Amino acid sequence: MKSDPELISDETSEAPALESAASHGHGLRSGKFSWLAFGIGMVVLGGVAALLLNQPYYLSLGAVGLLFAALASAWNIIGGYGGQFSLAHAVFFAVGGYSVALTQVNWKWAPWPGLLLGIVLSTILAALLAWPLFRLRGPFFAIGTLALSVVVLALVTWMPWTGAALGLQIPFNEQPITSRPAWAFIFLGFLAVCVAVSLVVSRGRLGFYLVAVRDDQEAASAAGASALWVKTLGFAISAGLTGLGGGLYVMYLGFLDPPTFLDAVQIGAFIPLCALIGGLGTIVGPIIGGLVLPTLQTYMRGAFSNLPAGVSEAILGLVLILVALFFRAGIWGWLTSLVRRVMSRRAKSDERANI
Amino acid sequence: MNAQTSESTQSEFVLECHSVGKTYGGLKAVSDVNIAARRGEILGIIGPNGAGKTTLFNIISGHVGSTTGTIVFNGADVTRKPAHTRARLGMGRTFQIVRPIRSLTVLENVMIGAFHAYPTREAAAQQALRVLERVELIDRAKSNAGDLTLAGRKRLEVARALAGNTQLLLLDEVMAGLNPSEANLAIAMIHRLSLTGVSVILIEHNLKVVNELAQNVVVLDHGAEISQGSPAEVLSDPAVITAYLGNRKVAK
Repeated sequence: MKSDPELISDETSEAPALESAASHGHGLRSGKFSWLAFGIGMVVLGGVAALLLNQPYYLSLGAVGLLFAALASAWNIIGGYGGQFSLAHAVFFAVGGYSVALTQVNWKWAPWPGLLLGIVLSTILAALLAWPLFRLRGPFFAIGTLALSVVVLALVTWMPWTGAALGLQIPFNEQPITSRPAWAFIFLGFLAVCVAVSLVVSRGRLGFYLVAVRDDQEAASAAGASALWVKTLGFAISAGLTGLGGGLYVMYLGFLDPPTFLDAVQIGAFIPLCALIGGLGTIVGPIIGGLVLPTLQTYMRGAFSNLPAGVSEAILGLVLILVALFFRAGIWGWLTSLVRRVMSRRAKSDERANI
Repeated sequence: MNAQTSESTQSEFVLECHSVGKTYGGLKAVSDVNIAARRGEILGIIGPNGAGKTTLFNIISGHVGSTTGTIVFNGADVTRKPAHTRARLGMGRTFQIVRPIRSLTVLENVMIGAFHAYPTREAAAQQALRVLERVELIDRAKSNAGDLTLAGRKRLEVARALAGNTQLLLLDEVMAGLNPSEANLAIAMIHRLSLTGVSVILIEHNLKVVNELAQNVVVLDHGAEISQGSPAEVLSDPAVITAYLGNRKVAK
């Protein structure tokens, strides 16, 4: 690997040997390279979307894939780096959705301030919920967040001002963007935002603290990281991005009904599963998982439509179990370890050749 | 031995524990312990298994709350302050069972300890490298923390504890599990760190280590302090000999 210019440009230069050691960061955390890869990746995804412009079916599959890739990236900040397996992100997704839909339907707001409101409200809500929720650790935190999302679904279905079980419908002529292809690119933009935030977080102090708190909370606190504060910050950032996604999704759909936004399985567990299958705590993993999983699900629903209901779900469940058993680091983790193994084997054979 | 001169405005003691106690249910793990560590000194805490040494350490570092007493660090009462606040004030600790952040490299582990004093990534990395050089782990900077030998992981613990401009280093049995030559290297390292002005409190099982390093020793037994003084005084105290070494007659 080449050395990292950011570290070398630092004016507190030590001996050159020190600098070269500092420049070899940890995989994705190293230097400008990740921003270059980020740019290339987004251009490639945009190019693929452009190629699919005349294929509405695949383009709409791609749009949903990009949305979930973004949501999985956002979730990954607290769930992957921070190791806090939140099943409550459906709540933040819904807060974003309702912020746009309610302000537009009731007060004739444009969706843009509604989006902003959704980000603010979901961030604040997450920060407030963090205080009680992070008293719970590990699986208990996951159960607490699951309970929260179930309660919110029940509340929203029961309260009249949220449109109750019927939800809300945004009149077609009040939807600013109805072109389907445009949405693929909007969701790509949303993905770019989520990945950029993930990059900034993971390479900075907060990212290091999140990983430290995930791996060993006592050691992290002995090193000066406040576990509650670190988790709250990660949770709030992750929730804010998820709220933005919910707002965009309601603009895309043109309607909002509670199960589409708040279902504990289809949203609440599905987003974490995308990140899990792709590779937790990495930048690329959630993108892969988000692109693959919803597409696979839609494909299987079509392919097995003549079989009894539930077969595609059962197969998906089986895939998840296999991933959990044999690909613990997810698709991306498996790929990188494969590459590393091949490289080290080649390096060894080179050494032998030199002798 | 060399310290007070440079920081004359500060109090003589870097750490004071006033009648600190901790009870779990009816069990007194630590009771009425008074210790004071002078700035720049190495203070040893010894005692048989279950004497409450690690509990006392956890109370000092803030990982366990004390039931009674006060803890004063650098002249400020930190009794109610959480562990991370004490770390930010300049208190670094290691754990008896090493706790590296396994998914990070050695350098990144030390950066975790540096970040509170050096908030940017670049500054934290530079500080981490300086500290890794002090503990002679610089050539393993890029290794995964989990790949180090036990001696290496113990050094990593010390490095992480030192990285945030630490003034008081709490070492919990850093020699345990090391072979004699590794232990000698560790003794030399702690001695060097102490010469740079860092105050050290170390828990040790190994009396030889305490004898070589510590200027003062506190002996705990059943959660209470039974002796205090220079190593020579303490090790010849009959109460210590019976409590710490049992009934066997020991000729040192």
